Amino acid sequence: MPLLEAKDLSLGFGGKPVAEHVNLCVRPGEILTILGPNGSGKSTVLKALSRNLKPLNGVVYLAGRDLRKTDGRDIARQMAVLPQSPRAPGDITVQELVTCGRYPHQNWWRGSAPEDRKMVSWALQQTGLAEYAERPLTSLSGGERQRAWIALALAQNPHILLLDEPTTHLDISHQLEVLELLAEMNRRHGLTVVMVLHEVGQAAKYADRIVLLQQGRIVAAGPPREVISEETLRTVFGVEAEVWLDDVTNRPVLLVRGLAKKADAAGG
Amino acid sequence: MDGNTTVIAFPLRNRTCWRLTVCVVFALFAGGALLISLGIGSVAVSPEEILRILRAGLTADAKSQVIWNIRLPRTLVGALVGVNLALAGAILQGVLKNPLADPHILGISSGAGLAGVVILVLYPHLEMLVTPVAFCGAMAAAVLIYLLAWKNGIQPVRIILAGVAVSALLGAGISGLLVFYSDRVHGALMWLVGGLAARSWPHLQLILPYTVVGGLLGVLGAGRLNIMALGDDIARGLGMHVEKTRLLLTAVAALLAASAVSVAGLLGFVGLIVPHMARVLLGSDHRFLLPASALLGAGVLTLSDTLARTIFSPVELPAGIIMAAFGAPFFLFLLRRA
Repeated sequence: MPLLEAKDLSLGFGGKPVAEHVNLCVRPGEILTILGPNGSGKSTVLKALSRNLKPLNGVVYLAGRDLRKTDGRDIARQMAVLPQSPRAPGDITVQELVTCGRYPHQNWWRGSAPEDRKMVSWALQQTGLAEYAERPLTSLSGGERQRAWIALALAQNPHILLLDEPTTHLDISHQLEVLELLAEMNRRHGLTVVMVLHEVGQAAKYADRIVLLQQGRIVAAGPPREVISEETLRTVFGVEAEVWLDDVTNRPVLLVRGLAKKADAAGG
Repeated sequence: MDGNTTVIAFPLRNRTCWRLTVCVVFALFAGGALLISLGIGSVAVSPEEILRILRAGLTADAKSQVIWNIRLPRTLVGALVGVNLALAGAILQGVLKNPLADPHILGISSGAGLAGVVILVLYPHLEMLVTPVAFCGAMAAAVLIYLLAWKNGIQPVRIILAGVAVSALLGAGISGLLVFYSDRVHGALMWLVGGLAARSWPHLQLILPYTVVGGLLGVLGAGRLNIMALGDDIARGLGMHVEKTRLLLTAVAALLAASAVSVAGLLGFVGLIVPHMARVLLGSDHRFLLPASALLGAGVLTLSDTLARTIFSPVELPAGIIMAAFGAPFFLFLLRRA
């Protein structure tokens, strides 16, 4: 059974739908990347998967249950969500932030339990932030801060983690650091990861499968070497690029030569 | 509030310790303010005497009469009004994620103001109805703003904008009445500035249930306010029903504020500045911020009222004026030090 499944979603913010006929399923233990040019609707799709946008049509299932008919805390114990560029109060410490991840496991008669503290310190360790626990979030660098938000999500102890462009505003080494962390969590703990990326090379390197969106429609879905081609880069992203297969990883590697001629590009 | 929240530096290792200390200091401040308020006035009563009188209950003794019939109810009403306004402000600032949110922004005060002025100016013989009518006015304004701001749920910015608009509209109504009936303005003016003159046991009975219930719900909601501070997306991801929580907590704040302004008139300042003072010293964790704001609000209002009724004795100033005159500069001082 797919862990997360979207059936014939139509999405929009009133008026014309931003995305239509979106069908996708997330298999347990995979890294799925939603890829597409600006305005292709990839963040919108993630919002719908994470209940932050009510679909105009269609249903999202988490482990076979309709998201809209499932209790929010119940969902939060299975699925964690990290939006793009989240913000926190200026004086919150890393530990306090990560402890918020235990919210779906707590209720008003049961506050903080030993299990909560255990999960929080585990999440801090996994993200390499154990020494930063008492530091204010604002004193951390961009990459460390993003890892702190990931630690918040990990403290939820989810089976699946949804992230919207987790590498935005980070420099290249911190981008890789975040992606390596997610890949590590996926490898070692079987965490299923669904993330929106706009960097084709990174999607090719880290995704098990890619769902490619163009103007609100899925135009390709499959392993990177099937989805990333000179053809798709030209028609979907509007760039001329050379793509070849890395013998070691069996993943596509690309070299962008320049913009495609307008007549060839479908735009988007 | 956001990444720019200013907080006076404190040792992070002893953070909880520091926060508890601040709360204790606020509690002592509130307790001291209550004692001072009971002791100072045309008849001075020492703290030991106050405790003795309170233990003995009401007797024929003159001091006992003053304490039990005049000062105690007025002081308690002042303290509870302070608690309610400060809690309402702290909750609203948290729920609406806007440091400028307070009962005035939500239009609650204007609702109470217009209703009160209508009674005081048009039907002065019904003056005893001012409190309940003002309460209805405040709640009507809150409901109106909710309805205006509702569009697929409640968005903080729309609440604030609707509140500002409704506030302006009701304010125009108040000004209009004051201009048309300028001969009867005086009574209404005292009410609009806000104060505790002649507040007694019936007022206490009116406000107490709201303080108890609102305070309890507010403290229970503190954890949720902390989660909401991380943004709607994160809160929803953590399993919170964001719209429902926002609606409930705003309603709690509305009840707290409505009960306070209906009893004491349009006291400004407490709801806006007291939570900020507490935040500057404590940080933005609502589990500490809410109780601290409540204690500070009680202390500030009681002390202001004591000053208001003694400083130019026998002439009595509205407490609102004192509070703004002393509190605003002090707050600016804190803000510059942060």
